[in-house]
Amino acid sequence: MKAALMEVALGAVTAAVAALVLVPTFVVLKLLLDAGLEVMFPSVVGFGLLLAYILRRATVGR
Amino acid sequence: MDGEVLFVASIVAVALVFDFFNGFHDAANSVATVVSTRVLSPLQAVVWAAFFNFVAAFGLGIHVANTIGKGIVETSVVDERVVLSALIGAIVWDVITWRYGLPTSSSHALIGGLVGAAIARAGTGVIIGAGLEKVSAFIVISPMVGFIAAVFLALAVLQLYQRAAPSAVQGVFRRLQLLSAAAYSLGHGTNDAQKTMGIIAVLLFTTGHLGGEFHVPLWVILSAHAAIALGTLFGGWRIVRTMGLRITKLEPQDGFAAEAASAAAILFATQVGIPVSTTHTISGGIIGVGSTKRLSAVRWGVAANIVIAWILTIPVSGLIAAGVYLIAREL
Repeated sequence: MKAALMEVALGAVTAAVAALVLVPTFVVLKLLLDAGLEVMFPSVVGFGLLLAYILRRATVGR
Repeated sequence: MDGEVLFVASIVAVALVFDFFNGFHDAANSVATVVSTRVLSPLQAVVWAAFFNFVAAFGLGIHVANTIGKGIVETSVVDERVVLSALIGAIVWDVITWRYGLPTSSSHALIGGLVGAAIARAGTGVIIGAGLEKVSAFIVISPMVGFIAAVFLALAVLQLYQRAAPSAVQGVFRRLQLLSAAAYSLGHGTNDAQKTMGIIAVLLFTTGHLGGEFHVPLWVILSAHAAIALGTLFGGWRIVRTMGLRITKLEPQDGFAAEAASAAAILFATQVGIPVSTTHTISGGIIGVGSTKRLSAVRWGVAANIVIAWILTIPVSGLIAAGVYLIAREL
């Protein structure tokens, strides 16, 4: 019973963390879309490529 | 029933068959993770995904249907032959790429088909540049957003559970995957079914069956969602047989991060009225989760095939549809 309650509590915390990550991400996307595709496209693609580069550096040798 | 009505009804049926196969083809994306992690039995997973594909008919709007119906080509040039040619162009391209294992998007094929058939009828002047530009940009943006959101989500989860016992992590994410799979199926149902709705609505509008104003009738909304849900149900069964023989090794927390990030990306695109490839978006999410462990763990061959599919789908399905229209015009 205690373990089940703990799982439910952890699940709620995780869902809240997911919302904290996803909601701001999509607020930024909406702002970029409102600024126009000429702003949104290079921003999203550039940031994605930068993130991939950082992950490559961080995970090299694993 | 006169011949013209019968012809329109037949094209509506072809559009719904296209929608059914969209669900059939994409069922793997909706059920693979929850089945492979044994959160749900295959039967439960398929019913779960199909249910949320259908439920997506209620409350998520019809912005994508409006974009497809009146935001890509001028409605004045769309007639029965244009719509039929667009559907045939998309179906032929889907079959060719299925045969060669290219992960193409049925949505992009449909848009390419519509553009190709419209150009064949009335030239390039009928294309609504802003609409096509937005759809084309999101071919790249949507999977990239799936990738970025999945990376952030996977890192947040990793941080949150770094000291937790593996058994506790498994328990939590087995349950959370139910939610993420449902959210993904909602996104898949609403974005993909709306493309078929848009095609049917523009056909009904231009043939005078909708009255003076473009709108999407309720029966079109419900039948498009029913078709995609049935496709998922039957397509899921096919996947289930494969899964029974070869279960993919997948951690529940990875499936959760990839599905939740992709669902959010698809629902975002749906709310701003942009048709996106649900398959490419979840591929971006899966690549994102894989990248947080080791970039070389990502199967870059799959990513390269997706890029090839991006480049080819709209022009080739457009060329096929244009060819079909030119033949149909002479009949």
